[in-house]
Parts: sequence; C-alpha cells; structure tokens
Amino acid sequence: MIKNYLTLALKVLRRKPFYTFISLFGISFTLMILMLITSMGDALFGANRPMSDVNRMVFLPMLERYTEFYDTLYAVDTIVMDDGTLRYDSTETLEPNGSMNNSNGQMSFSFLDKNLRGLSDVESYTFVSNSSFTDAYLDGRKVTMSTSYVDASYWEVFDFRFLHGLPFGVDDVAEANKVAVITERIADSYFGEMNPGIIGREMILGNETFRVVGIVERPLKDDDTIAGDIFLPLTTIDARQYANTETYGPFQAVFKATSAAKRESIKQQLTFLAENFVIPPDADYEHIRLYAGTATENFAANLMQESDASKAKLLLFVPLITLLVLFLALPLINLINLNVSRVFERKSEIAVRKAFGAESRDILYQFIFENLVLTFIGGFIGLVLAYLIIQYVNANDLIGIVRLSFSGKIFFYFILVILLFGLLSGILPAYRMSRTTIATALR
Amino acid sequence: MLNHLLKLMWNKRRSNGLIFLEILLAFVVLFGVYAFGFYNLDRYSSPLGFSYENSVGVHMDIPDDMDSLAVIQLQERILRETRELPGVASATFLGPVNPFGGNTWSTGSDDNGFHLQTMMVFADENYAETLELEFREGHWFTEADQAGKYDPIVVNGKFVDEYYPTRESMIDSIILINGEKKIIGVVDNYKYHSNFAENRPLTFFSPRSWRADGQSPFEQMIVRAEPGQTAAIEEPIYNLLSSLTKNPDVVIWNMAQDRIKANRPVVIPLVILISISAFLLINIALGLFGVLFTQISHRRAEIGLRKAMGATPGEVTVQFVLEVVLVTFAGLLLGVFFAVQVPLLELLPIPAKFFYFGIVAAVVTILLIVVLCALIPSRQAAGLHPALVLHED
Repeated sequence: MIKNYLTLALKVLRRKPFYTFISLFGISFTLMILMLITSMGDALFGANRPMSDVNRMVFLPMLERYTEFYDTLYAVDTIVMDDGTLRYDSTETLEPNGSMNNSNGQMSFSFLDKNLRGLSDVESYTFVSNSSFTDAYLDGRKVTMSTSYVDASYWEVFDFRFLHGLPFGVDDVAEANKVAVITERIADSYFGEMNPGIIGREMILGNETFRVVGIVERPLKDDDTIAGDIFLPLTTIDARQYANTETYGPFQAVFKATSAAKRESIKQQLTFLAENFVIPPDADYEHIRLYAGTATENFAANLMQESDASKAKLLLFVPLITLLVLFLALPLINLINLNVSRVFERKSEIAVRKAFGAESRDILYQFIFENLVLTFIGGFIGLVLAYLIIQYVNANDLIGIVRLSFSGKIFFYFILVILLFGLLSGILPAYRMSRTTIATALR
Repeated sequence: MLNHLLKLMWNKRRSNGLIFLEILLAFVVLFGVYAFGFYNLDRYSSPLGFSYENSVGVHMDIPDDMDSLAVIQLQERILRETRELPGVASATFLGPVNPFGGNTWSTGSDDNGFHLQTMMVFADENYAETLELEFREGHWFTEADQAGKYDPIVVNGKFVDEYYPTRESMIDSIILINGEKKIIGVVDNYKYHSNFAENRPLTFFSPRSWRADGQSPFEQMIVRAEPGQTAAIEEPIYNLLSSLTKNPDVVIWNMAQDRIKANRPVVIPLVILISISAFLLINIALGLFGVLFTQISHRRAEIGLRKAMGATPGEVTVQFVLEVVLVTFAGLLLGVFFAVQVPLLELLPIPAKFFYFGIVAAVVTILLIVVLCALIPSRQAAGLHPALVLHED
C-alpha cells in the first residue's frame, strides 16, 4: 500500500515539474534556515561541551557598587485639640530619592577568594579571568590570543575535551608554574601543526616562556567564560592584579550546583552575602550587589542591557519568537495556498477512486502521505544546504571560536520539524480533496 | 466594474482568504525589514570623519611608579622613536576612548538652564594630523593653546548644529563643560563607534584637561602607516614599545579590521534579515504565480465567453490583474493600519519617518510583485481564442 502511494506521489511530482520546483524551493529554504537557527540556538543555549552541566551552573559575571541618595522629608502636622489649642506634630523621614551613584565591573581575586568560598549546595566552583589579550610574534606573523587565567577546579566545572595532554592541577596553580593549556586553533596557528608532539613544547608569551601541557577541542558552546584561546594558572597573572585588594578586578566566578533546583539557593546565598558585605571604611560606595544568574538569564540581560533577568528574558524572547513564527507562517501559507489551488487538477482522479469504493479517509491519508514525501525531499535538500553553510561558518570562524555542531539531537529535532511542516501544510488541502463529491467531479 | 469584481472575490473567498493572509504577513515582515534597513542606511550615510585605512591602534602599559614628568618624557620618546620607524607616517597618543573601541564617555552641563550633553574624547596635539581630521573652522590644539588661561577644546560639527545652529563662528567661545573651556576648532565630522553609530555631539579635550583630573597617563596610541605598510609596522612597534615600557603587555590592532568588527552587530542581522526576506519574497512570488496560473486556467470558459462577447485581450487582462490587486489592497490596508501604530504610539525609539518610508517601500514592493505575478498568466489566458476554449467544454 505504502509502496503504491509512494510511486503515485513521485509520479505526480514529476508530472508538473514547475509546481514541484516551487514547493521544493519553499520547503528546502525554510527548513535550511530552521536548521541553522536550531544549530545556533543549540550553540547558545544547549548543554554542550565544555558546558555539559550548564543547567546546574550559576554565573557571577559582575559586581555593582552603589551609593543611594536620600532625601529628608520634614512634615509638620497641626491638630486642633478639644479645648481649642493647637498641637504640633512633626515627623522627619529619610527616603531614597531614586537616584544613585553606581559603577559595575568584574571582581578582584582577593574579593572572590575571601568571600565566595564555602557556599553550600555547590559541587564545584571556579574563578576565572578572561579579559586579557596577548600578542605573540612568530617570524613576523602576529598571533593574537585571548588569554584566560583560571584555577585548577576550572577543569572540573567545565568538561573540556582534551585532544592531547592533560589539564594543570592544584600544585601547578599553587606554585605558579608556567604551564599552558591551548585550543586546537592556537596550536595550529602558533605551531603550524596539531599533534601530540606539541605537548611539552614552549611558547613565548610576552617575555615569559610557558610549557604546553594540554590541547583542548574548540567549544561547542558560545560563552564568555570558555571562549579563551589559551588557559594559564591564575597565579601567573600580573602580580599587581593578583595582590589587588580592591573589590574590582578582572575575575568572575562560576558555581556548579549539586542539582538544577539548587541554583536558586546559590543565588540567594550570593544576594545575602552582598547585602551583608562589610564595606571597607574608606570606600566611596555604600552597598554592593552581585549579579548572579543562569546562563540564559545572563545572556538575555547582557544583550538587552537590562539588569532584571526575567524582564530581559521577556524582552529578548518575545520578539524573537514572533519573528520566527512570522518567518515560518509565510512559507507554510504559501504551500497551503499552492496545494489548495491544485486540488482541482486531481478532482477526476479522486472521483474515480471514490466511485470504486475508496473512503474519504483513504483519500485524506493518501494526500497527506504525498505531501510528506514532498516535505521530506525538500527537507533533505535543506539538510544538505544547511550542512554546507555550517561547514563554511566553522571553517571561516564567522561566529567567533564556537563551532556549530550537527549532532544527532539536532537531526532528531529536524525530522520532527519536517513532519510538523508536512502535516500542517498537507491537512487542509487533503481535507478539501477528500470531500470532493463524485457527481460534480465526474460531470 | 468594481461591484462585479467584489462579487467575484467574495465568491472565491476561501482561496482569496489565504492570499489575503499571505499578503498581510509579507507586508508586516517587509515593513520591519525596510524600516530597520532605512534607519541604518541613514546612519551609514553620515561620514566617520577620520582616516582609519592605514592605521593601527596600540595599547601599552606605562609603569605605575613613574612620576608625571618621567611619564611625559617617556611618551615623547615613544612618539619620536615610533615616527622614526620605517613605514610610519604619523603617531599620536590618546585617552581611553579610541575609535571603534566600544567605549563611550559622556558629560553634560547646565549653564543657566542651557543644557548640553556631549561625548568625550581625550587626545594629544598630534591627533588631528594622524587621523587626518577635516576642519570646518579653527585648528587643533597646540602646545601654546594649552598654556592659555582656559583649557582648549575642539568640537565636532554635530555639536555646533545641535546646540548653536545660528552662530556664525564658534571660535574663541568660552562654554561650560566640566569647567570653562575655550573652543579653538570645529571638525567637520567625528563619530567613532562604527559606521552605523548615530552622529552625536562630541568634544575633544586636551591632555591638560586629562591631567587636571589626576588620571593615569594616556596608554593608547594610533599610528598611521604609509599606504601598504600597515602589516609591516606591527612587529617593529611591538618590539620598540615593549622595550621602552619594559612591559610585554603591548596589544596592537588593525583599525580597518576593527571597523569591520564594530559594524558587525548591525551588518550581520541586516544581512540575515535581507537574505531571509529576499528568500521569502521569491517564495511568495513563485507561490502566487503558481496559484494564479492554476486559478486562471480554470476560467478558460469564462474568458472565451467574454471574448466572444467582444472583450479585447487588454480588458480581460485588466480584469484578472484587478481582481488580485483588490485582494492585495485589502491585505495591505490592514497591514498599514497596524504598521502606522508603531510611529503613532512611539513604540520604538526610532524617528517616525523611517517607519513611513518602510510602509511605502513595502507597499510598492508587494504591489509590484503581485502585478507581475498576475500579469503573466492573465496575458497568456487573454490571448486564447474563444472558438478554441469554448469548443473544449
């Protein structure tokens, strides 16, 4: 039966090449773009290496220092007493008047070291500074490297895939050993090759020499904390930065909770900590606030320049989803439109089938099936196109260091999307076709 | 005629309903893309006002323990020795706000109710020469200007147009920006964030104003190379500066590449939006063409009859095209009704004119596509011979 339907479907498609082309064009491009969006979305929000546990992570990218301004309100109430005398009642209230002096930025190592160790519900945590760049010159060729200074637990929080070698450990960090973990991209551009032989070789960064101990794969996820080209023990950072006792510095913190639900607890502990932080007596600010949030919250807050995470999420995702729905609706309506107007062409075929005893249901299934065949062909073309574009994007680093993946998970989503698209665009026309009355059609 | 057409449309309300919906959605998408595009095109058309093609930016770390005199001597030596490098045309020191760097410093002042808000750039005496700034009037600050009573400032053209549009000349005016400052020059244009940044009032402050605030010394430089020498000067500059400052933290970037990077947040969405909407348009055009082709070929008998009654091919064509255009109009009308709410209710912080441009452009584009798609099948159908068509039935 299925085989019959399939042969029929392909015959019909071949009979009118122009219409088949129009339909396939719409389907394949729409699905290609959907595929690319899914792939980007996966890189932005998915739980991929080296952030497989992103759903348990709390990020603390910055600290705000602020001083609120207060207004003194002085009010005098007059009350006439029973005996005709006046009584005066004055109140004085001190209220924040809404304006404040504030500044925000990343934190210093000493601040993190002193205050943020020993939170409960935390499985592991790391302090990382990723705001430095190092230029290295090799035979007159410039290699610019984004440099991350990290502690040993960084490699526990993030599950980087080591292509060769191993991460540096607690001892290396404690003794400020000159060791480095580099990404495959830097291995390739600095040494001109990528093989196990690079482990143990030396790199000259500035006027210091570092020994390469590990090479990691490029991240499959886009995030600031893992976007470094080269990772060094945080004790090797500029001595002034390391000893700095101000609250500000180049560091941020990432906590991995024991479970996804415990993230709230960590955020609350951080809020509590900020509220009860003892401000140094000579400081020019009165309060601090810690901006802790999940990866998605921080992403939205950052993009929308909105410090309230839930509002930022709304601001970002409502227009984005509207746009996506609009984008999907147009080709879908187009396809439905095309299918509906082509019902007439096959009226006599349906009428003949019905006259020989086919039920409306059979006709309905047949046409939905035909439409699915068309969608799958279009989907396949879209898949090939999307694959080519992803390869191009990855090869040319068009979106930074992140690599777009083409995983089984995405493929599964994709099949779902094709099915949905096929069903949605097929049901209305198929329903109309199946209701054809024999008498009028065969007239 | 119109009544007749409306009746025809109503009879085919089902298939027309889908076309109506399609036109409406297409209009909404196009309107958004056009408005966004026009808005950014308008910004792109205002010039940057400085040269970046052959320049590199340099960031260095000047030791904290030097006294201010030693710092000035070191900076002078750095400038002198950088200029002597082969391939270097000019060099200048500047404060923390560099072109395409993404930083914004701004300040406001309230002079007896006259309020002004300006962005701030700090630069030394060589800045105008290195960046090849064009002057509307006056000149860049010199050593002599900095010895005068007032701190000298140079403003951009937008500053004058915005706050002093009627003044013939701004030279030697004393105005209040972080204290009394004397304007000694007006540059034609200077907007430094990216090509798509808004042209906003901006003021250049001299090193004297910078030092008065007790800030750490200038640690950024812009070096302009002779044409074609940009890549070649990077390594010598790196070696020179890391030895002079005794610190390897010297970062050098190419300003032309930095400009592309700074434009990226607008260019990438713009390219994505334009290519997606181009694809949607092609898709809609092809779909509409297919639908109209089928629909019209079903009405061969009607065409034959009309022609037999004496209608010319032109009249038949006009009828079919008008039918489709009417449906399109209905869709566009509803779309425009929604679209004008955006500027009327001031939903977005973008000047209203771009939304009106967007509406007009979207309407024109859609009408053009619809008429084209309707014209081809209609003309073909109108050319049919009545005897042939009527015979078939």
